[in-house]
Amino acid sequence: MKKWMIGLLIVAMLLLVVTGCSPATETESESEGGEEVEETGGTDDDVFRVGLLVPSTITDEGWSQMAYEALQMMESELGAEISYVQAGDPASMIEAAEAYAEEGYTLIIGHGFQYSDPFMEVSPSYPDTIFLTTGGTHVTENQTVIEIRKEQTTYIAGAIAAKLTKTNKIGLIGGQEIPAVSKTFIGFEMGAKSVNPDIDIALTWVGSLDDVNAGYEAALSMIQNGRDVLYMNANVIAKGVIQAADEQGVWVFGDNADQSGLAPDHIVASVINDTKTALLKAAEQIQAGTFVRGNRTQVGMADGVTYLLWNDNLTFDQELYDMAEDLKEQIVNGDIYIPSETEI
Amino acid sequence: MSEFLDMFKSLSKAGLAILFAFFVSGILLLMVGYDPISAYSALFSSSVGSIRSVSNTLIQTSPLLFTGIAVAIAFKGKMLNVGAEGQYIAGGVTATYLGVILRDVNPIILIPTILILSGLAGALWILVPALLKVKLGVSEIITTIMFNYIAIHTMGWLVRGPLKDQGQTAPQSERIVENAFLPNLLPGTRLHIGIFIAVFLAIIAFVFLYKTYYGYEIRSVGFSPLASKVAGVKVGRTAVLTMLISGFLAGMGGSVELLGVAHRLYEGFDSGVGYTAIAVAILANCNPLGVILSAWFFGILQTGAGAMQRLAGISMVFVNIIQGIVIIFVVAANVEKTQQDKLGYRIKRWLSKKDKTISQEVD
Amino acid sequence: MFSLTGTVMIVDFFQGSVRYMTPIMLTALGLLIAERSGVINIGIEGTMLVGAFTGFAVASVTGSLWIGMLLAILAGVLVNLIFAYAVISLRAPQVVVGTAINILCLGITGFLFRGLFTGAKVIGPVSIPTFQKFPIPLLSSIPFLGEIFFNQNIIVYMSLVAVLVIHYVLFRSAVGIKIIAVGEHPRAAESLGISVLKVRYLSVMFSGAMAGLGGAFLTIAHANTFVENMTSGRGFIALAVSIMGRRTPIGVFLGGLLFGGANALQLRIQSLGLEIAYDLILMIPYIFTIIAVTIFSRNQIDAPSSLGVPYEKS
Repeated sequence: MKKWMIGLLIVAMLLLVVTGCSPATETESESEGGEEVEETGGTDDDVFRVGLLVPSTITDEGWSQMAYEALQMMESELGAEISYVQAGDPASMIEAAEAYAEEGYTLIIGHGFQYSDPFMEVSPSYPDTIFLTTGGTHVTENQTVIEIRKEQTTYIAGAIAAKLTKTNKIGLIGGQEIPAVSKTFIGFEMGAKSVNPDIDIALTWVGSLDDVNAGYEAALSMIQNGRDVLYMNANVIAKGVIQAADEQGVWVFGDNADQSGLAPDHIVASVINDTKTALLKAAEQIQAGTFVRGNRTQVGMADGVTYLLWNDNLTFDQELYDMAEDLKEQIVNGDIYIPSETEI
Repeated sequence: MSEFLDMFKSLSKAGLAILFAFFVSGILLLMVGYDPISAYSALFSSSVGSIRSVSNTLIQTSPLLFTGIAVAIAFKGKMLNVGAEGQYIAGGVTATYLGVILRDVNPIILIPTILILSGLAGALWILVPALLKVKLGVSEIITTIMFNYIAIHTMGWLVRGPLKDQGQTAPQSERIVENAFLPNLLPGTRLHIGIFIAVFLAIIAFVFLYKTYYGYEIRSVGFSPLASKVAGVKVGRTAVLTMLISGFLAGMGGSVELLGVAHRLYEGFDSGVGYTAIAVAILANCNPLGVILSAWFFGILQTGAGAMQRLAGISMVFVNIIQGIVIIFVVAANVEKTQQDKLGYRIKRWLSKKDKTISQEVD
Repeated sequence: MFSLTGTVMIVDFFQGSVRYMTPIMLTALGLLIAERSGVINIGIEGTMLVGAFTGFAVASVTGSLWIGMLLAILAGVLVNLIFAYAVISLRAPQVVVGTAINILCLGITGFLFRGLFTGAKVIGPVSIPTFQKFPIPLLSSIPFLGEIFFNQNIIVYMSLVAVLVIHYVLFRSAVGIKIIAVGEHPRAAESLGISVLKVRYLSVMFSGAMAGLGGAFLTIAHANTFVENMTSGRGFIALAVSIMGRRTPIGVFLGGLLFGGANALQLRIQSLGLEIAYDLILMIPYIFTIIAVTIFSRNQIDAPSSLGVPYEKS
């Protein structure tokens, strides 16, 4: 009995050692190969490698998925070698960032403010690598922040919502309260109040980024409370909200991408947030060597990375289209200012 | 000595279960078109392939080890603490608060103070479920799970409200003072002394459980509350004590992660450690020394999961599959006549002896 | 002034509560049977998730909600069969196997969803139609209650019927006596010629079917898509509801309504637009649950005496 156990254990150990060791040697040779290419080929400048860290699953139809699609475009359009990893806790963030830096990645993107701190632990040791976070605070020689001024578009959406509502009550639904989301709601509110200062606006946080059923219920209780125009910024939960609005026949704005197809009769317009283009542009500059270090970059309506896309299936009063155009102009030329992520 | 033989046996079983789980998961990988060899080589080379990766793995191991021992001790006393997650958060929150307000305190005093107070916060977080269980017979499984949700939402409220860093818009606390940072263990890496504390506590926990009277009481209550009661063990008190120790360890784990790695509090700081801890404890058959190894194994899986995604493009949820299969196999391997029966036998014998001594005393 | 709008709001509130409670109640109804037979299963969260995924995936590929529902039920049975084998035949610790099932199901559904429904080649649309409201003639015209309970979708009705059927089976039929006997006193039951293992297997499989259906509700009768980890703890809540309902179908119905109500309340408080920290509001349902479980399960008077204890044939 005991011998049988010991025998099994030895086999187990051996197998563990085999599985544990052989890969180690393999990767050793791999990394040696990698170094050789860099030394002999002299083409290391041509290998543009981009690593991406995302907080949630890349199928969230929102935040993380947009960044992942940007990464895929870097592969197809810039010929970059790409890789991504989902990292939620600080230890994993640091570790993944360091692994990318160690593997010679040129650009490491952390998609969210929460990557700013962990990246600071790593970036000083790798001056040749550029660390980019979408949101966050730290800006150094090789660490930078890029922020998309999505709130500029939600301002216009808010103004339209205030025109469309019959009950004078509109509703906002968020997933988790973070600055990148809050600022869009503040923009929306400012826009709505610019049209009607007395408008009643409620905000519900679902407190989750995956409970799509809760999003549906949150929207229904808004609608039952008499709110007849909704906007949500909550990744995949948006689908629950749009579904509820469609069933109940109230107006809703799409978010991030063109969502008109989800409810062709009830989506007014979609708040486009073109993370893809924004990140791609930054990557392009870094690849070309034209990237200016040490700046916090803000891109917005003037750069065409965020805009309001009307639902083609519907026609609204010309007044609305005109107002949207007018507001856009004022936002682009600076007559209307909406606070950014760091100013709210 | 027989504890060690038992451990040796469960070690070999765990090893086999792990191998088998990798085999089955490998087949699954093949079926969906990935190369299991390159996936596993990414997994292992990034977690045990170099000094840096070993230290990364150990950083991931230490929270799992704290919570793993916490769960193991509770399970030994048959207190099903599914709330290590909440207690871990309670510890992290306390560490943040103290680390922010206690400026200009010598690290030698500051760090132990924070660790112990955070542990107490963890114990406090399990106190209500423990009392409800003992006084009113309310299932601790349910209450500890509910307390996890309450902890998560409390943390959300704190980082947006009272603990929020006013200098920033992001929902996160201020950074703790540098004096509270855990000292580095290995120059050139980020490995902090947390793993050292954790291993030390695992050894203490083992000695406590197997070599002291209180430990024996806990295990006997876990085996049969009724028999223990007959033998004169204060079952209720022992159960509460078991839970408090468990909460203390989980809470301390949270503070070690905060002082050692995160340095400030924000949502997602907990990342499901408390649930993984159940798996960690089970793989080790709830033996604190075994938990050292199983926490290390889960540390390897977590570190390696990132690498599998980075290098082989396999989504991180895949590691959940490996973990689930490992536990099921370990459980299956342990169900034959196991040491649990033997422990039961020994406890019965001990109880009957105690019974005799009690009756002798009475005589 | 008890105005018309007030009544409408209350009806809306309860309709929301019923939708919220349906998946939880279905699952809890199954759980109470399994628990009556002596098996506690925290892996039910995973079973629900598999039900949600299967219902969605099958409906997406075949285009039939009914086939989706059927296979979701089967998938739930299958998951619980693994659980049953481990805890009943192998007598493994129930909480442990439950945890393993949760982790495994989260992994498998996430892995399959990514593999099959995202990326370049997908096997079906990511958005599917859902079971629509289907007012029951006559019943739905009952004032108040008719709107709340009989102007819902088909799975809600199934859950209401299940309450009555399970109540009857458990307390008025020979099957119910067998189940209770096995949970209360397995050895005595065995001596009366009842197969303890068989009864437990069937009870756990039934629980899997109910959880599969409960999970499927989330994707084919409520939201119209699948999201990784979308059950978000509903299985754990179902466990709590089963206990606070004292493992009786009527109790589970009321417990489910309480939890559903707490959630509907939470959302309505937020939709009023008050300035309260939302994290604190989100806690309401969980605090409700703890209080309710404490009040209704004190001393576990009615808990089956062999709950959680593996049975060994003598």
